[in-house]
Amino acid sequence: MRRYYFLPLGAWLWVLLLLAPAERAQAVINAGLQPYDLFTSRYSRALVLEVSEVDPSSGLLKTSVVKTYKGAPEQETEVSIQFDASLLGVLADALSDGDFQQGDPIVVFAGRKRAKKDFMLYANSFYLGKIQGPGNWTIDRTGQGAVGMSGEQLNTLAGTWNGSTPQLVRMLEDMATGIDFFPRKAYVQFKDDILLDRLESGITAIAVFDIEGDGDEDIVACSAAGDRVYLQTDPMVFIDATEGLGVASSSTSVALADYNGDGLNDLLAGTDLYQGHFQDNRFHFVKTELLPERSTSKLKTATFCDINGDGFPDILASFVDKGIEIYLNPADAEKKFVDATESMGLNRPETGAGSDAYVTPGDWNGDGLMDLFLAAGDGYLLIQDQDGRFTPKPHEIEFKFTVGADNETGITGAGVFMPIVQSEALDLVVPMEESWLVIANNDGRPEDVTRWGNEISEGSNDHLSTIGADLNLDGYMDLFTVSRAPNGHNRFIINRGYGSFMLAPVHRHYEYVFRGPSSERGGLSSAAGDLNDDGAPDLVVGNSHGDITLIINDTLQARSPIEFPPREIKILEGTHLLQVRVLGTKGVTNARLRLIDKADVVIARRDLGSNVAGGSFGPNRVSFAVRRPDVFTLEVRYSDGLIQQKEVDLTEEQYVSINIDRGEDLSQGVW
Amino acid sequence: MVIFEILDPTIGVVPIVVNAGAALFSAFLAGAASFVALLFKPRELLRMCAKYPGRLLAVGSSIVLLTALIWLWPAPSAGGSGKRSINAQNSAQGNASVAITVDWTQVALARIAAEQMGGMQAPEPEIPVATQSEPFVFRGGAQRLGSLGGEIEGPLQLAWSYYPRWNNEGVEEEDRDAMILSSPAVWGDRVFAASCTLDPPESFGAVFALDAKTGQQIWTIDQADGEFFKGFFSSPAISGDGKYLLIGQGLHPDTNCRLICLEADTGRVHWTLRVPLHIESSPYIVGDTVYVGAGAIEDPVTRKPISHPGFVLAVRISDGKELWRMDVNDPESSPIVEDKRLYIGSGFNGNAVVSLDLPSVTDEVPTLAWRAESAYPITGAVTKDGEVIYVGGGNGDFVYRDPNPAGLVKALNASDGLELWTTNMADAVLGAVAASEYLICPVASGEVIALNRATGEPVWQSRISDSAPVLAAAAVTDREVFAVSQNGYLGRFNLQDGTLIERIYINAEERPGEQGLCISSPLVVGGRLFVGTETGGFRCYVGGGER
Repeated sequence: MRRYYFLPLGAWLWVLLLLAPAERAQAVINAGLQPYDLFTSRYSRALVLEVSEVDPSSGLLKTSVVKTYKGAPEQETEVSIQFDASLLGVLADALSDGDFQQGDPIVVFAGRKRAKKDFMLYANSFYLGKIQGPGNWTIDRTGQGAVGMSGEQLNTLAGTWNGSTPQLVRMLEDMATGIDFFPRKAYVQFKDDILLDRLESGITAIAVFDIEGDGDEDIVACSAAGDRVYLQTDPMVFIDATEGLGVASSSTSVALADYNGDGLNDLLAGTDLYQGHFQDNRFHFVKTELLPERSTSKLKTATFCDINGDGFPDILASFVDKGIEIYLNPADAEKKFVDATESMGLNRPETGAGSDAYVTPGDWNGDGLMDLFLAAGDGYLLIQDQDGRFTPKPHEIEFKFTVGADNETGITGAGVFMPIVQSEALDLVVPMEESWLVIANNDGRPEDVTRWGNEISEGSNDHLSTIGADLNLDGYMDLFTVSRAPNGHNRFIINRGYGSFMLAPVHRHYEYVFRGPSSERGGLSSAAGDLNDDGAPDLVVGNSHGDITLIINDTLQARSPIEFPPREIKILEGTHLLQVRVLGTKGVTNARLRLIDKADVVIARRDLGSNVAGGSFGPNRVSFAVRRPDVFTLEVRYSDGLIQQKEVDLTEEQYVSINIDRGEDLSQGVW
Repeated sequence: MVIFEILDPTIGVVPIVVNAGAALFSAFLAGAASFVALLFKPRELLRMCAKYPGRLLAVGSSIVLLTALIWLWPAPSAGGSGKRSINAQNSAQGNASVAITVDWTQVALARIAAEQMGGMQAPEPEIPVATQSEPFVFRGGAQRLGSLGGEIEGPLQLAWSYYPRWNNEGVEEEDRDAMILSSPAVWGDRVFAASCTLDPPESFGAVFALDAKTGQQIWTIDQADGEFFKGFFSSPAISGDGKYLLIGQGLHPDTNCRLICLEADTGRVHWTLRVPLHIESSPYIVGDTVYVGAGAIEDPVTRKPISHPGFVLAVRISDGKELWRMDVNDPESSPIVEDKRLYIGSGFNGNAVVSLDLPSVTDEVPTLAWRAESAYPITGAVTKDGEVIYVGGGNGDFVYRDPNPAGLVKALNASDGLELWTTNMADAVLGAVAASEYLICPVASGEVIALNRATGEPVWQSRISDSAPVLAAAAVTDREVFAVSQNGYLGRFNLQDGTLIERIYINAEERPGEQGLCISSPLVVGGRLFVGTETGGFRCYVGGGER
């Protein structure tokens, strides 16, 4: 395991840990020196060039000035950059890596404090040089230019920025307008672990969901020792109501939704479908026989998911030796679900049939229909067409879902579709054995941007499943991954924005991030949801020891205003929360929520039903942390296409909680 | 503004005369006016000569002396615009350059202002002059008390602050991005400190001497041989005769750094000694010898040294001759030398306290006296009081926090390294342990903890700023404890029970620290507290403020 955080020592300042070989993606964040520092105080100019021509033999790079973000716009519109003869090999390597291509952007910080003619250039890697005269620049060093005693390359700049150039350009634009946020510390804290219960066997799935509709999230835990349902009867008081609710199953996955549109939530525990009833002032479940004939195959996971976009939750299942199966909701409370696996093209080898793998749902191409990612083979990104058939999208991404020397399958890869690189489209994060892949949605084209993700490289071991939630309430969706090893370290990776990530405990700003044993006792399941109704998502983790642990988010408490807040803390102190619960008799399960500003820009997106690949399930309630409070339009698109909009004013209250409903008259029924 | 360039730094006494002269100038003027007036009244002149021969002789002598001084004083530089404009001549070894600024008018004015501000309620602090037999070493001595005696009466108030300056192509500029990470040294009326400016891809540093009462710069230096200094984490030490300042150079990734010896009066480079590693360790001085550690650079993945694992070296101060060096893994710690024995912490890949028997003959190397293992790296300074060695240690460092934080404080028998006790801490103890009535320990968990010296049992524990880590050593007087939290607060505690007496913010209020690098250990001297900050420059606090 790579453990940068043990690195020394006393005076490890900024660059200290950045002594890495000349790799591209390097972990470790130099908290003492970030792009913001370069922009605001270390350099007098910041501009973007565009490559127009490059001659690798002479090392001459011709560029044009695209935009000046800081400093007076120079007279020069064209800049020739001459690489030192000793760096021709470096330039050749960069060209072979695809850098310095015609039209590529280059970020330049010029006018260094201690040497006015010095500049730093970033084109997917740092280069250092001097301005010899107008339009005449030379490069004589790279970011790896420092040489250690033994001749090794020392990169003293990777921790400042090692993301992609386009993302740095985007940050430059944001810095110029003062809206950037790229935290250098982990401003997040959780309370002491709360052990909710300890069952006799491992907790394979967790649901955080308001089961009986009282406004408080409840918990379902699945286990071979029997599934348990814990109702939150009073604030943070959970009662084991399993028997009273009529639940008697032992499952590997769980999901909740109102599949029959009667206004009551139903429960899918493995392949057992329970219908919610309200009788004699008492809510309870009744098991149904509405699923197709039970397969003899071993179920891996099953979840509610509106596959065909009709608003009625279907069932998306994965079997150990069969791959994906889909049971469509007949939209008739009396009829059985229909096995549509074959008709949707999922029984073919090219769509991963026969695989033992986790399946992740999400609308990758934004057409309103659910797409899938199957963590098997080389990775199947399955796009659903308008006819309801799935077709694998070609890609060149190097997924690897086999584990260990025996190449075991089906024990990693439960990922999540969520906005990472941009605020509107869904990207994809997939755990692998000891790492992750971050797949950017480049107008529908999957692009592996992991190498720019900084401490996304800091994996644990035996990664099983990853969920997404804005756990540090900064507006960016973060990652939480469980390690299936009995004493594995569960990983909380903070999304810093601009495609960069941070291993939270290493950069903690508060005394601790997690305070309790659960983070180092592995996990088989996890779910995020606001258990205590404070606006911050909490975590529930189930592990192989049978522990069901509540990890309550204490970030808001830790974030109480301080006397002299540094800029980042000041931004966080001014961050307002919007919490939205989506209600309705259909279309809720995979509803898409977007927060849109006055300029019609989507500043955040959340999708219900995202965190399901590992067999767990999250609530119908999401949180938006808004760093620049304003009046926004909240748009909820139900999975059947119904759109509800509501104006929300976040300028006054720090925490706004609202419900969004379809606006239907329930008395008429919806079937 | 009047600028004097000191072309010959050996006449360091002159400014003191000039300073006194400035203060007495009005008296001189009055006497001279009377004398001139008498010259135009011969009879009266004769009468006065007969009546007060001594007075007139004194006035006349003073005028002659003042005239001579003005006549002999070096001319101001042509570009005397109030900015530093010259480099002094090379050092004795002919390899150093130094730039010096002395503006004694400003010194006088600033001192007056400081006295007016701080003197109204607080008694004028006395700055003690260290004797020639007592070098000033890190934290003021082997006990690492960070105090040279005296209490601060009344609430703290800022007396002055100073931002390091640097020579920007011949123009001296204040560097507000400079951080003061290390602990200051005091000698006579002067306080010495060093800075660190992160200016990618390098870091830069300056060493400076200030008038302790006014904060006025006496000299500053940021380069030698035309090469800018790298950022400083090491703290300065002053030789027992007060002539030389010793300091290590560089931050953790730096190689090819120098041990620097400056003339304390002028800031001129006496010598530098280049080593292949960096010197974050703060030097220890005994007689004409300085001892310091050169720390290793570890590979981020393997955590093993990527080059030399580190060594301790001894250098003769008078001529810069290296006497010996001995391999010790990662000795970023600051050593102590007593009775021909050296004690130092061994950090990463060392996890120990190491004691060396020093050679009695020049050119010989030390021998290992003992080595006491530790569960964690010992990167902080070693503390010694009597026959006991105290050290703190732990995982994590000044920037990065271990996800499973742990630390300890150990007491060892100085003679054989036998463990007397070990107290586990919630997080690393990176700053020096101050051995006062209690052992005062800065803990990265955010606590200042007092331990019983004999048993290691906690006596009290307090916090400065919630959970903000306390990484720097505390200053401990007879009555109080002063400690700094990483996020920029200075806490003042009752030594007996840890009660928080007051807490003040020491970063620039308009520019709060973003990086959590308030890691300079404060120093209390004669009613003044000196401390470095992340964004507030180097600061001096006195008592007499308002609650």
